[in-house]
Amino acid sequence: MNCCDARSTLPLLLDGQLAAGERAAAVDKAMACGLCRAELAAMAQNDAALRRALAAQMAHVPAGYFEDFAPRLMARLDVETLEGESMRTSSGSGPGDATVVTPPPTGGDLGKDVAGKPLSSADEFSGLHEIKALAASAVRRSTERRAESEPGQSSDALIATPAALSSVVLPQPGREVAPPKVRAVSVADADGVPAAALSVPMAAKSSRVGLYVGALGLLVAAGAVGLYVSGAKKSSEAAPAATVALSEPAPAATPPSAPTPTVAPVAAAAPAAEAKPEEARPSEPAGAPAVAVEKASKKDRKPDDEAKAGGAVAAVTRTEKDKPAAKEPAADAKPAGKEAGKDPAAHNEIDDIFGDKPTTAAKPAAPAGPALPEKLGQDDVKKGMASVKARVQACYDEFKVSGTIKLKVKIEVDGTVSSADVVDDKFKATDTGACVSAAVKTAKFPAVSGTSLVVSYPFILQ
Amino acid sequence: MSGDDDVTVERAQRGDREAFAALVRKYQRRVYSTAFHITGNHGDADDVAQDAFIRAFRGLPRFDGQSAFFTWLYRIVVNVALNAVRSRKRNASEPLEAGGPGEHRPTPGIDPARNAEARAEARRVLEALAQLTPSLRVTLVLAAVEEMPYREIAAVMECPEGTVAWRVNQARKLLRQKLADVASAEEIDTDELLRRAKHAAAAP
Repeated sequence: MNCCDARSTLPLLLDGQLAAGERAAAVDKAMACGLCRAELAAMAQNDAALRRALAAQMAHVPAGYFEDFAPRLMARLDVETLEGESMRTSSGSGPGDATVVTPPPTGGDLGKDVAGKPLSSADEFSGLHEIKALAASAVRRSTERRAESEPGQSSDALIATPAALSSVVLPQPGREVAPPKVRAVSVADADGVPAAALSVPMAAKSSRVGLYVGALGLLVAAGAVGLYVSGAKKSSEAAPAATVALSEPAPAATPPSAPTPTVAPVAAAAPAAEAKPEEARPSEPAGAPAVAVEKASKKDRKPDDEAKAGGAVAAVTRTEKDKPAAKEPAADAKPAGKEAGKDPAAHNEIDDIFGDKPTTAAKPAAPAGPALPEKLGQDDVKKGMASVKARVQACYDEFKVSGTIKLKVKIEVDGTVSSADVVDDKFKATDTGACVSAAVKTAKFPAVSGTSLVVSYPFILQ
Repeated sequence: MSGDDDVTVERAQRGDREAFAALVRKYQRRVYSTAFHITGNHGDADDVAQDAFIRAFRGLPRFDGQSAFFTWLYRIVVNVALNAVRSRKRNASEPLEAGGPGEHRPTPGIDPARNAEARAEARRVLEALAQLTPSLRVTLVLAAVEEMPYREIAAVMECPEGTVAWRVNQARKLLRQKLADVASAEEIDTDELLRRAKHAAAAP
């Protein structure tokens, strides 16, 4: 190794990058070479000066900075998680949102959601997330109520089977009868037809498959009715009524043909209300899928309530007095606004799902109006914040403190900002923080029909 | 990655925030100092350090353990810091801070004249460092200040080891040119330096 070779290895020597054999040779050569020694000394001097300068720079890190660093970072992670949830969460957790769910929730999808199936990310921002969540809430609520009112009975579909039909006391046309009781029937009694195919909620599916399945269910049901009529020799006038009752869900099976959002669930519930419970109940398979249409519990009915003959058709036009018979399905499926004052627990459940309390009063069942979006999108938030960017920049121009300032901003339904709290410790309780907070409070966003939205939003001050 | 890191990282990957907080506490000083050395001021260094940890947290599920956790984290820090420097175009126009609020605070027990001299030297060095390109600056800081092996620097900078060696050499050369009158402030005992180098542990 000559002198030039030794000089080229000096940086590696200084940085400890040479293997043992190379290192010894390089050191020996450098010891004997004046130029190498001088160069090595110069490099070492520079490195030492660099370390001193950077150490001096580091010595001016604010006191307590490192003690505070991890908690601050973890808090920021929490805030960003909250932000993510806020952006995913529907801003409309209020009663008006329930109008989204016009048909009773369907058994298949909801069963999965209730069972804890995570909603896919594709559902986020599409509105499907909210619909599924709300529907899941409805199913859970109905299941819980059923468990309360009929302990020991698992959730199941209301199925019209020959066995069940044989026990139905068909109402006489034009005659008022006592409200019939509902009895659940095991899916095993469905003559081999899948329970979902016969269940009303499944028939409410809007997909083509749902239509076919619903039609199949109707065929089977109609066949069962025919068998019943011919076999039991019941009143020839009652048979058409029963047919009406059983076939009424068909319109609900295809949402486009459903007359109104509120009619569909009630109509779907009507046949269930016409079923008679006196028949011995076959054992039900464990883990039967939860369905949206609920059995009307005995305690929910008043003995003197009147139900008009004519099944579902009559159910659609039932007065408030009659509603207890079909109360729970209606409570689950119809727009929540109608019962905003009746069932606060229902809203609490919805609130739990959306993680936010409604800040506005209950709205009427009718949609808030086509002009107002249900919630703010990310673009809306960005646009609103962009409108105050100049004011925020003015805060930096005035106080000259650079960095990223993050605020937790609450946007009300009317598009105004009710609070803008500085999250970063660096800017909390500082002039810059107060200035930026005041600036953000002047931001305006599009009004929405839902509820307030909390977002975390950063501004870079420089 | 040390054994401790293996376990802690795995826990953090499973969503254990306390485990991640432990990693933050363990590496926050090194992450911050690297960010500080690259960006040159506390405000940006703080932002970079925070952002780097946030990205690391989000990227944990994709961390496959093929490199050391710290090397992986360092790569994130360097990338975030370089992006910050480039986006703000401060690398060439704005000198690094020679000190924060306490810059003019005398160090207790040290002669005020020496204090002033030390401050002047630090300022010159930082100004010279700020004039290097970001890649040269980062590579030099990692090698000469953080004393990181070239192999690890290559992993962090995602370049060959030979490139690292060239950058370190080039950065030193440029820095020496700029600090011709400053570096002579301290005498280096070359013999002692060489003796230590000879008996140092072998390179990894």
